[in-house]
Amino acid sequence: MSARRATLKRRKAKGGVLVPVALVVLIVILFPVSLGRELTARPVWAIDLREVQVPYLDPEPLETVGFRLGDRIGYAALDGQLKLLQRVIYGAALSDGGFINFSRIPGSLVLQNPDGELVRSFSQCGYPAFDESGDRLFVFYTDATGLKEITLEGQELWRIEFPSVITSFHSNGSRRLIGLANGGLALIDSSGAVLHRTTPDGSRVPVILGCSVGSSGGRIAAVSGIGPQKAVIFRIRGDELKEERSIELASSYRREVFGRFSHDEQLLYFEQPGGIGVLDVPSGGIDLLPMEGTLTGFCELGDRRIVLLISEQKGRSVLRGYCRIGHLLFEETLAEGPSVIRTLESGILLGAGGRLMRIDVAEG
Amino acid sequence: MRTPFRCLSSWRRLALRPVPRRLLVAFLASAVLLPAASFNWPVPQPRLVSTFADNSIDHFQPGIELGGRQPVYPAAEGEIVFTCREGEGYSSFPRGIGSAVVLQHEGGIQSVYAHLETESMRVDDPLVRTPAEGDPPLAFSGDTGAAVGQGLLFMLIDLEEGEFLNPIKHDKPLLYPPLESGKSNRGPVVGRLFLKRGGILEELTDGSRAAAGEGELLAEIYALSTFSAFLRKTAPYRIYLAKNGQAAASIAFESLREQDGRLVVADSSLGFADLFEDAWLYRLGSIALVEGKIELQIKAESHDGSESERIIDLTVASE
Repeated sequence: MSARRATLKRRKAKGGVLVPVALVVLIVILFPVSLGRELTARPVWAIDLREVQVPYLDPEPLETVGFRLGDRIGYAALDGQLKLLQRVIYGAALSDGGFINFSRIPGSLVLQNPDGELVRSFSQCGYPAFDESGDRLFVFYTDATGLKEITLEGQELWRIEFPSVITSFHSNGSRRLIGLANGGLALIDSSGAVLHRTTPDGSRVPVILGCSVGSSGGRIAAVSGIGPQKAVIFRIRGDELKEERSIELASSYRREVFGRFSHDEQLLYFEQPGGIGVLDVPSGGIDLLPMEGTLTGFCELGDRRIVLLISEQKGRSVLRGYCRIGHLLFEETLAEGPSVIRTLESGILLGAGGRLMRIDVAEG
Repeated sequence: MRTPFRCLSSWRRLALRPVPRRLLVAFLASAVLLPAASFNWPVPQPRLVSTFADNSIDHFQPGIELGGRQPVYPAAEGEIVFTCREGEGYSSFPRGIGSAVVLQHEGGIQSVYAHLETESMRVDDPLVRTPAEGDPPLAFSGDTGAAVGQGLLFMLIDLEEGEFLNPIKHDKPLLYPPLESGKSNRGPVVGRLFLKRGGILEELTDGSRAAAGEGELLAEIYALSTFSAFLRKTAPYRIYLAKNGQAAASIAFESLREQDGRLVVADSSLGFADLFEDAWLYRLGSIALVEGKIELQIKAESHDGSESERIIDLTVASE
C-alpha cells in the first residue's frame, strides 16, 4: 500500500514538471517574442577602381558620396556608379557637394562639382579643408599660424591668427576648436569670435595633440600635455568653461593624435598605444578598443553603437568592428593598398585594395 | 678612414650637395661659444631667402626662411614637443609646414623647423642638446608643404609674451653669430612713394608739386636676398618716416603679437592689412600736406644693418 502510494506520487511529480514546460514551449512557438535585435551587413555594390576607364556620366543628377583612396579622389553615386575619379595634385578638400584639388603652392583654389565641372575659382594662398558636413570651407595659412573661413563663393567670413603653431583642428556645427603647440585651446563660433580660450594644466609641457568639439557644442575635449599626457573634457555652460574630466594617460605622444566625441557626446574616442581609448564621459571610466599599428580609418555608426576602425601595420590593413563598450564584433584583413571608411545614411562606404564598396547595415 | 663625423657620414650620402666640413666645424664651434640667452643658427650655411614679417600675400610670415638643402640642428638644447610628417599619420587639417618639428627650450621659448625632408627626420629621442661635433641633425631642410624650393622655415615663439620673435633683429639678434653687414642682402631699397587720396594713388617725386590736403602715405620698401637663383624681395627690419625733420612714423619688425585674433607688429599694433597696401607697398600712415615746402625723409634698415634713405622735397599748393 505504501509502495503504491509512492509510485503515484512520483507519477504526479513528473506530470507537474512536464506540463508547464510543454506549455511554455507551446507559447513560445505560437507567440514568438524577440529577444533582441541583430545587425546585418549587406553588400550593395562594389566598384573596381583599377578597371574603370571612363567614369559614368549620367545626365540626371544623382546623390553622390565623395571619397579619397590613397592618391585618388572620386565620387560614386549611391546606386554604385562611379561619377568621377581623379588623381590628387598635392592635397584635396573633399565634401559630398564638391572638391578642391590643390597644388603645393596654391595661388588660387578651384572648386569643382562631383562631375568634375568647374564651379568657381578664388584667389587664396592657403590650404583648404571642408568641415564634416561639407557646408563650410576653411583655408589654413601655410605656416600653420592662422586660418580663415570662406564661403563657397570665395568670400572671406573671418580669420584668426595665433602666436603659435596650430597642431589640431575640429569643426562641428557652429563651433570650431583649435589646438596649439603652446598648449592653448581656442573655441570660436561661426562668426570667428573667440568664445573661450583655455590651457589645460597639470602637465610639465603644455601642448595640444588632439581636439574635438561635441555635436551639441556644449563640450570640448583635448589630448594635451607631455609629462603626463591627459585627456581633458570641458563642459560649456553659458559663458563658463568648466573642466568636467581630466584623465592621466599612459601615452607620451609628440604628434597629432586622433580624438573625437561620439555622436551623443557620452564617449570620447582617442588614440592610445595599442588601440583607441574610450572615455565614458559621465562615469570617467576608460576602456580600450584594441588595435595594432596606425589608425587609418574611423567611423561610428552612431545609432547602432558600433565603432569601425581600420589600422595599418607593415602594409597590412585590418578592419575591426567594436560595439562601443569594447566587445570585438568582427575582424577582417583588408586587401593591400590604401583604405578608406566613412558612414552613409544606410551604412558605410568602404574602400580597400582598389575597390570601393557600399555596405548597408540594418537591424533585424 | 676614421672620421670625426661618423654619424654624419650616412647623412652625407643623402645630401645632394654635402656641406663642406670646415663650415660644419665652424657652425658647431659657434654653438659652444653661444651666449646663454641666444640661439645658434639651425643650419651651417644660413642663406636668408625671406625675412621676418615678410608679406605672405595675406598675412605676415612669422619666421625666416633659410635656403638650400642642409642639415638642420636644434637652435639650442630643448625637448621635442610636436612633430608632423608629410603624408604620414593622422592630421586633422592640411599642413602647409609639411614635415616639421617643434622644440621647447628653457625660458619659455619654442623653436619651429618646417619644410623638413621627411625621410631624414630623426626625432626618436625627444631630448635634444646644443649640437656638438658628431651629433646627427634633426633632419635635412627640404621642400615638404608649401615650400618654394628647398629650404627651412624657422620660427621662434616666446610663450610667456605670446609672440613670434624676430630671430634676426638688427640691434639685438637672437641667432649667433649675427648677420654680417651687407652680406645677406642687397639693399634695402626705398622705392616709389605715393599719396593715396580718394582711392587714387599719386606718385610723389623729388621736386614735384602736390595739392594741399590729407592723404595716406605709401612707400615701396624692400631688400633683395642675395641667395637665390633669382632675386627675392624681403621685408626690411625698420622703417622710419620724418616730415620736415620731425619723426612721423616708425615701425620695427621685432616681434609679432596676437591682438584680438590678429598678429600685429608689436611696437605699432599694425596688422597685415593695416601695413600692406599691396605686395610691397607699405602704409606709413596719414599725412597732412599744408601749403608751402615739405621735406619727407624715408629711411629703411635691413636685418644685416645696412640702411638707405630717400628724401623728397615737395611743393604743396592749394587746389
